[in-house]
Amino acid sequence: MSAAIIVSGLKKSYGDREILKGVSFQVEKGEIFSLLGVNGAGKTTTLECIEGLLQFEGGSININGKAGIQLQSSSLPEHMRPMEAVELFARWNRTAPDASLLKRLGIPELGRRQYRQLSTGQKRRLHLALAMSGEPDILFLDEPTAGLDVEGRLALHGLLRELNGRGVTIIVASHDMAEVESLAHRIAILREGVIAFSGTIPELNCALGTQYEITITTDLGVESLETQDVTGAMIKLLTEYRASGRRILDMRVNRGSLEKHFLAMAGRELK
Amino acid sequence: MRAFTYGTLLQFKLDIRSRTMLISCYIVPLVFYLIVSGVFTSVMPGYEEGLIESMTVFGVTMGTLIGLPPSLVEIYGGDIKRIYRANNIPVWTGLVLTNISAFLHLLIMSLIIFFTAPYIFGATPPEHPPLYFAILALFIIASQAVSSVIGLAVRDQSKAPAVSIVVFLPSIMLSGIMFPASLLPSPLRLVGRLFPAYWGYEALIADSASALTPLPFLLIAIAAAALCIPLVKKRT
Repeated sequence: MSAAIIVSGLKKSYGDREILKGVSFQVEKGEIFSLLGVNGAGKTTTLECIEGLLQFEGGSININGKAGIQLQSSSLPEHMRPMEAVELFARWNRTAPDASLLKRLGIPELGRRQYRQLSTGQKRRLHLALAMSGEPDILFLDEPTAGLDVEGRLALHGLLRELNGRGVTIIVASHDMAEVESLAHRIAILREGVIAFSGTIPELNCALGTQYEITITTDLGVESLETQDVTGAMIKLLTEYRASGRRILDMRVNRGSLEKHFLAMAGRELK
Repeated sequence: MRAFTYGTLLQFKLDIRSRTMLISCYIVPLVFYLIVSGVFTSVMPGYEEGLIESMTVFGVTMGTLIGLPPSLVEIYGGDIKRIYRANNIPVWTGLVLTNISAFLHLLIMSLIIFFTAPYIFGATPPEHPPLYFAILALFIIASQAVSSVIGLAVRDQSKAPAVSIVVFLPSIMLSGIMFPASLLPSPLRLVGRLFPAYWGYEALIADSASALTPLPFLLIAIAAAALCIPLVKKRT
């Protein structure tokens, strides 16, 4: 694989506040890469520097391909219709307008409605369609599923996988860990203006030590414990329960979630 | 070029759908034209002489100063410019296409007055229509340039109409279409000359034109364009 994006030592400040203190990461061609971080970590700032919407003070950015961009906060002229917007964006990008984009995002019926008449979720889907309308090699998505219903999320995930299958590199900034876990090939976690982790989710698990949670429901109540040695812990528990005569009604073993690992890496604790 | 043409046609359609543009470019100027012309031609003998010119100056000033700035504030005051820029749509298109579309709408409104006034009110048509329309085009462009400065300088859509009115009222009052500008005290006459409406009315009612006729329009347009360029850069 060759690099679609190389970000090296990126620095950006707002006044005296240093937001990015030397962010470096690389996105390979054809992968889905997710940028994670708590609110204010600098995800949107990083993306907007890469997209060319913000000027930065230090570092370098190399992009290898045509970009399609969906911003976190977007708008269109209020009287514009969705298909007109798709056509306008496609024409300026010298591509053929693709009416099926709206259909694939589950908003084909919006053709006659004006932008101001769309719901938040419909607007978000339209902006995704616009980002895709220029047939980009690299797709930047900032919180793409915020405000979308389940149907919209699933439609979007399907479309992203389809685009990725066609070789489109996708960068997603998201808060939705389940989404990241199901979509992303690799992730980067931003913490206090630098990349605290960059790699695959299994690599993150290894870096933090895979923690398992065992939850056992017995006739006397529910007990749970966290361990890295599942086999040893289960043998010990089962032996104890047998000796005490307690009846096991249910038993579950869960791997530590990405949320927990993300918060650990981002320097926050679960409340 | 195809994208530019499509963008122009789309903007023209958007302006028809926009209530602000529809009201300020067509409804108010044409209703004002019908009522004022109806009243004045019946109570003021000789009003037919400058009727087409005065109503056109009012309509163009109304359409540009009241109608155009909100469209520009919508694009440059909010997120539209960012989404355009992010997806390879040149940011200047917002300014240029909005102006081209408004120009066409104002020309249509002016044509309606030009062709109907002689029949409805017995208005005297201009002696040299090609010259009349050439001056009208310059007047519209100069008025749009001033409106573009307002649209780019004001960030808040709710404040744009207030700023527009502040420019619109003296523009109309001091232009000479309500009463002869020669009756105004000289300081006010000088202030009136800062606005395109004064020069528009002066040039449109004149029987002839000289090489100096376009000069005030060009000076106003160049001065306004000089302000628009840094404002567009600042907004993006």
